[in-house]
Amino acid sequence: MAETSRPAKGLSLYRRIRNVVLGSLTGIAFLVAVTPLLAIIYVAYDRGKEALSLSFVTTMPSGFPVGSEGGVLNGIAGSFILIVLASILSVPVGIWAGLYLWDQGHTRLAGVTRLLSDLLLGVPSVIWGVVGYYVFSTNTGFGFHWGFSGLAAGLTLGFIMIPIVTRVTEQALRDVPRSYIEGALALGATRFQVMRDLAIPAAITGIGTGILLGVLNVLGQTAPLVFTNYYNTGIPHSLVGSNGSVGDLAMQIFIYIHEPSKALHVKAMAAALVLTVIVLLLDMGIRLLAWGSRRYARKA
Amino acid sequence: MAANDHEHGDSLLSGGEHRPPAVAPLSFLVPDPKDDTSPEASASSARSSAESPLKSLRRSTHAQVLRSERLFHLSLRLGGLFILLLFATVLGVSIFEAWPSIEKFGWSFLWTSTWNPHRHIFGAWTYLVGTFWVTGIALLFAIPIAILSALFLSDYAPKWLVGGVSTLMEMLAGIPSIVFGAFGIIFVVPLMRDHVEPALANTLGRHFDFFSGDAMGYGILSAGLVVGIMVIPLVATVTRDSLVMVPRETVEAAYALGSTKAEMVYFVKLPAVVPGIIGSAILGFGRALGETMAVLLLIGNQASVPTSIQDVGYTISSLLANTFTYAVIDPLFSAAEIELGLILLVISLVVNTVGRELLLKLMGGRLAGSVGGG
Repeated sequence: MAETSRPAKGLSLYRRIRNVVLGSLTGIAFLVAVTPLLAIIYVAYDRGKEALSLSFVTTMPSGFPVGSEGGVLNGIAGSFILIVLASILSVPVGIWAGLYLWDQGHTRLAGVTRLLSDLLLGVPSVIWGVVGYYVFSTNTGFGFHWGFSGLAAGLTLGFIMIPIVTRVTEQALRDVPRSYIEGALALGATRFQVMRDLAIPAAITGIGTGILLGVLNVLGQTAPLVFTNYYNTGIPHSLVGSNGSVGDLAMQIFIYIHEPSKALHVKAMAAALVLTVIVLLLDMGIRLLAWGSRRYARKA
Repeated sequence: MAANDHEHGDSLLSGGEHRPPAVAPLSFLVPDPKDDTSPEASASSARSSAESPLKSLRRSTHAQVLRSERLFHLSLRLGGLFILLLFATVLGVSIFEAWPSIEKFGWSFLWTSTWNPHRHIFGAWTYLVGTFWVTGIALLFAIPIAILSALFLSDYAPKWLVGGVSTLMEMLAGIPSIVFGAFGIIFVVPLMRDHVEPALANTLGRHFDFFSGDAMGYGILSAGLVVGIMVIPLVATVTRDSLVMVPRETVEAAYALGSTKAEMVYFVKLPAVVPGIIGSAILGFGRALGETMAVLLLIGNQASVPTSIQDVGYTISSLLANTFTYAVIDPLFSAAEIELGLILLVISLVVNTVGRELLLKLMGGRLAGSVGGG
């Protein structure tokens, strides 16, 4: 009996190498993907740490050029104002449209509406800026003629949020078990009662997640603000008209990083870190909310 | 006495108490008081007068319910109408404001490369080329890395690590693009200027002009790389989502036939999710296309057609964000810029629709959205 006639045990060398190579390639690719993203946070901290302190988020910018001393309170306050304005427009409208897509989702009109709301999700932010400019800010032709103002920018950001809130609301309502709704209808509840007493309470976490997701998406938007608001180093008394611009954290980073000044670059990186931390905390909040509601649903 | 009972019950019903209206569903059994053939009709006129308001009340509630249901139905439709209105506004404003330029230049706008506001000659070619260079570099860099990372997340990462790294990847997708832009100016531009671009010019650049250049740091390479970094989490997350949808039986069957893990992944899993990969790549393309602020900060903003990978350029979105506020003084200038925006809008809409359809077919309707650009 010759030893060589027995089949070799295990895998051939080629197959073993191929196995290891693909596995390590995926690991390396993952590191290549994540490293720059973590490096962004590190670089923002490293280059901005001279400016970072509690007073950075509680004082207004000052000095010359403006911003080389002081903090970013105007940006934080302005971003907050913009988000509140955007939510005032987009939350009722988005939930309303989401309810429509849930209630009458099978009709042809709802199919068209769903397609259009998906298309709106893909509209580039510069286009939103142009649309916001012609609807709210311009001083000629049609539109509201509000000038570069906080209200114009807030409502433009609201436009961006509407399709997000709509989509997530519809999905959250769809996740309410069909049997609950049919049970309530069988007991004689009207569609309105089903919506008010059953579907919305059951989907409220999902809807809340959707709103926060929308806020997350518009928080770092800079391009629409270039067209509708630009920037303010203080906090305005009015949100309409030529003195109605608000500050904004993202816009502040853009303006500071554009200046040929070392001090402003440091401030910009510190502001970038503040913005990133706010976004990541909000993201974590969304995840906790979704996780908590899933646990709650499993217990119930 | 019986009439009293009815009245009592009815007041409870209309008072909104929880007691179920015992008679309501059986209302058709209650005899019509005006019907003379009914045996109870002769009992007393007092009773019939007590019954008739009750019946009329019941009928009107039913009609009211129907009416309010109809109103509810219609008012919900109004909410949907707002979406239609918003879409019409976006498209309408873009087309209306771009019309002077569309009318004057026609189709030749697309391939004219002159952009001269003083002589009123406008053409999109320079910006189209710049946009596609940046997007192309970004995707060439991002897609292979994103697909491999998605494989890592779905198959190779150890169990205890999967949840953490997947969440990390998803969270990093939310970093605003202005932060990427600032990172690019502070970190990527010096790195490119001092190390990468001279090295590139000294190696590949010796043989191909395409890779040589002045090593300025700013340009389509830096912009493309930063946009690529930005797009990776989106493409990787969506690809991962389609990879985990591959049925367990298929995977087990591949193992049962004796394949190694790499062979299972390469010959079974990847072919099964080709539509998902294409869909996620298309979504990444849409995202990269609309990217504004990071590109504006990094591309150098010079209206010339890039001939080398180290050249500066201009993209549609960065041109709009940079010059639109002074272009509005001149109607034709602003119309030309908005026509560029309209081209971008149409491409984005087509790209996003195709990508979404591919992914929706694969995942059965569940897809989180993300807004492109920033």
